[in-house]
Amino acid sequence: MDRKAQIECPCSESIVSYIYNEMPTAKRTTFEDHLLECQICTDDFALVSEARFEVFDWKRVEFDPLAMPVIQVSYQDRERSLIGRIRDSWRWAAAVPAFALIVIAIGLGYTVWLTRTPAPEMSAVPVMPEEISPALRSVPPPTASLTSGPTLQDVTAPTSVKVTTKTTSVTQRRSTNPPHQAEYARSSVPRVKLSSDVAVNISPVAPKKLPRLGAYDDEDDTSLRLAELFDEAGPPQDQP
Amino acid sequence: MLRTLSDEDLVERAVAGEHDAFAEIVRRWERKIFALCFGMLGREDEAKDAAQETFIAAYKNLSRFRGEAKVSSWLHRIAVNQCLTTKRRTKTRAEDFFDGEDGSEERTFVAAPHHSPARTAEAQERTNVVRQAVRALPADLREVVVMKEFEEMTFQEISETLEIPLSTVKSRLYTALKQLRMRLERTPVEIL
Repeated sequence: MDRKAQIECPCSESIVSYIYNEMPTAKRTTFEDHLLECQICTDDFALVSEARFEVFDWKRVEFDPLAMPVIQVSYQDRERSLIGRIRDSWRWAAAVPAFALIVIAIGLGYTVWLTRTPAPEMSAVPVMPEEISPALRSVPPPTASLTSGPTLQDVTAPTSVKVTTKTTSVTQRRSTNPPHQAEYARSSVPRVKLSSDVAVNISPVAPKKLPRLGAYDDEDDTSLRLAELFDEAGPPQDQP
Repeated sequence: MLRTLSDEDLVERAVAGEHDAFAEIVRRWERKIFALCFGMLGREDEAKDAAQETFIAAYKNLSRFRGEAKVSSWLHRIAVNQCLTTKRRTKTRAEDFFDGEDGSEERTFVAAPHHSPARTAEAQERTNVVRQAVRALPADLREVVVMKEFEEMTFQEISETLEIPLSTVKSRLYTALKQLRMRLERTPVEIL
C-alpha cells in the first residue's frame, strides 16, 4: 500500500471505535485483518492506544482513589427570571388562604368541642328546707340585716363542693346573752358545719349558683334566701 | 551507555548476543507495547501476557529483523499478531464455556502495583505530564476526552450531549489522542 493510499485510509474512526470497544463484532474482525496488512494503521493504532492508556492511567492513579465529593448547590444564587418571580409570588398568595383555612378549621373544631362537652351535673346539694335539722327551725328569724355578716356561700365554701353523703347536719349556735344589735346580727348568722363523715370532692365543674343571703337588693335574684328558710322555720324556741 | 543508542543499534547488539541491549529495548518499549495490547484486548491481565509474549517472540526473531522498517513498527506488528492470537484463544475458551457469547467481554483494568519508591516517583511524574498535556488540549477536544474517559459515556451519548454528529465525536477523540501523544512525546518521562 503506497503512502497516499495509507494516508487516505479512513481508519481514524475505526481506531477509536475499536479501542473503546464500540465496534460491531463483524467490523472488528474486518478491522483486525486490515491491521495485519496496513503498517501505517498499525502504528497509528499503537500511538492512539498509548495516548489513551496514559489518560486512563492518569485517571486511575489520580482520580479513582478520590472519594465522591459532596455537591452543594446554592439555589439562592440562581438568577430569577420574571416568570420565576411571578411563580414565587403566586406560591405565597396560595399560602395565605391556606393558612386562613387552617385557622378557621381549628376555630370551628374548638367551638364544636366546647358545645359537645357534657355539662357538669349539679353535684352540690343545696340545703333544702326539708333537710334542715329541726333544731334549726327554732332559730328566730334575724332581725338585723344579714348583709353585714358572712353569707352562706362563705360558710359552705366553694360552689364546686360535692357532697357525697346525705348525713349533712346543720347546727346553729346562739348566744345566751343577747348581744348588741349589730353584734347579734353577726352572731345570729347560722353557721353551717359539715360533719366529719362528709366526703368532700373537689370537682372541676362549673360553679353552681347557690343561695346568697346578701342579695336582698337584687329583685331579680331568685336564689334561695336564708331568710325565707327562717320564715318557714317559724319563731325561735329556747333551747336547753 | 545503552540509553544513548538508537533502537536499531540496540537490535544489532542484541543479535550479536548482548543481552543488555535487548533489555534496554524492553525497558523503552514495554509500556507502549502494553498500551497497544491493552487497546487491542481491553484487559490488563491479557495485555500483560500479550506484551510478555510479544517481547519473547521479538527476541526469538531478532535475526529476522532486516532493518527495512523501524523497530517500533516491527514490535507493533508482533504485538498485533500476538493480541489477535490471544483473542482467538480467549474466544475459543469462552465459546467452550459460554455458548452464544458474542465475545464483547467487559473491559476492566486493575491497578498496576508500584513496588518501589522509584516506580512511585515515575508514576507521579507521568501523571503530572499527562495532566498538563490534557489541560493544553483545545476545549472542544478536551471535553470529548473527559466525557469518554472520565464520565465513561458512549459515542452516541456524547453526540447527543454535544449535539454534534457521531463521526465528529470520533474524529475529535482521535485528534485529541493524537495531539496528546505528540505532547507526551515532547516531554518524555524519565523511566527509572
